[in-house]
Amino acid sequence: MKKLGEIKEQTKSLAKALQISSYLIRISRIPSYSTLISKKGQGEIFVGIEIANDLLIPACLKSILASETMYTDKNSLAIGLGLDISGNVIKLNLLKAKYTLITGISGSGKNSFLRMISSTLLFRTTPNAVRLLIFDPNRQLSGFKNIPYLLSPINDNPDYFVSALVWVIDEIQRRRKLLKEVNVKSISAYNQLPGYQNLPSIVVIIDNLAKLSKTDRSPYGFVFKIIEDGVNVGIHLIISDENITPDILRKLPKNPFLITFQLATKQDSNLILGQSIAEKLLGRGDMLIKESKNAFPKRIQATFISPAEIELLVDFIINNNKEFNEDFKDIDS
Amino acid sequence: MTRGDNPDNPFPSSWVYPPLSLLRDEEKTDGRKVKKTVSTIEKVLKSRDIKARFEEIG
Repeated sequence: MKKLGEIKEQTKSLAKALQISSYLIRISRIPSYSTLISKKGQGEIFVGIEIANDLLIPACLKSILASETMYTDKNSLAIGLGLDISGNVIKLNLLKAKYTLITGISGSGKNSFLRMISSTLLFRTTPNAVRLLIFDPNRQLSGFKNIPYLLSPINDNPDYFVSALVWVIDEIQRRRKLLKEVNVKSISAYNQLPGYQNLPSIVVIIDNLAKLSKTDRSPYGFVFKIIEDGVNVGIHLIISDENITPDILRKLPKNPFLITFQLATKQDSNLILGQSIAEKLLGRGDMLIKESKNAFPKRIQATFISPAEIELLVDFIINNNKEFNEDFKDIDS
Repeated sequence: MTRGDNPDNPFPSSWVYPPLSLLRDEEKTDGRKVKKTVSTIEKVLKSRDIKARFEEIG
């Protein structure tokens, strides 16, 4: 039996024969694959040879949303992350994730991915079920500025950001009190009670946390508290940053649902994933997810929606739901 | 900025969902290109005395 290293040595020969850059070839052991075809080869060790397309063929949002995996999922907070190397749709369940942490260098697909998450919520939910709070100093999500899901205008001001986090903590307390009054432990149980008004889930999207932290009041303590206490009362955090430093990681709770696009260096990959792997990703939506601390990172081509499609989507929602006006909360106090 | 006293259900219940037809269709992978790639990999590995078995998994 050949060793993995001997097979890896053939990368240049394969690239030459296929007339592509060796950068597009990845040879690695695939532990989960044995399970996949266990009937044929139980116990065998498999080596995967992945040849990336030289032309980008994105996992389009349309086919992801129409897939059986997404179509049959009644959880409105399920997000179709993309396709794994076997072509399976891989989901993120915001209800189960403690919080979601996304990172990747510029051009890796991180910002498109945030737009895809927002778009998915627009396709699958209503403002009665899900409300959004978006903080966007890089103006990557400004296409969503007029949607009626927003609890507050999309904002890029660090001071406003801290005020909003305080508002979210107050909202957590309010919801906990409501749940306690009727003796239920989760928002889903509360929302099933007859005669009570539905509490919408709140998805907080924070892009560029480091930039939003440049204020006198550090937001990390508030962010930490929201992550720890928010999920049970329907408040879910998605944090995205290009530069996740050891300092940022120390200030955030452990065990996020990790989504890593291409990173600049081996050191960055080691910091985020505990292994040198994400620096070898190809960019343009090529990403790894790690669902828990001990999980093996899974490679996925991210779901994509173009800016033109987002414009159509937002226009449709606004033009066809005119009675749903913005309902901004007074959170800047 | 506050509009309305009800913090939870400020909207009427009717909602028009956006149709998927707003989105573009997936580009299909060229099956012939995949077969050609597999055949090339097979030849290269065989010439290096590496036995390979290909499985279509997706």
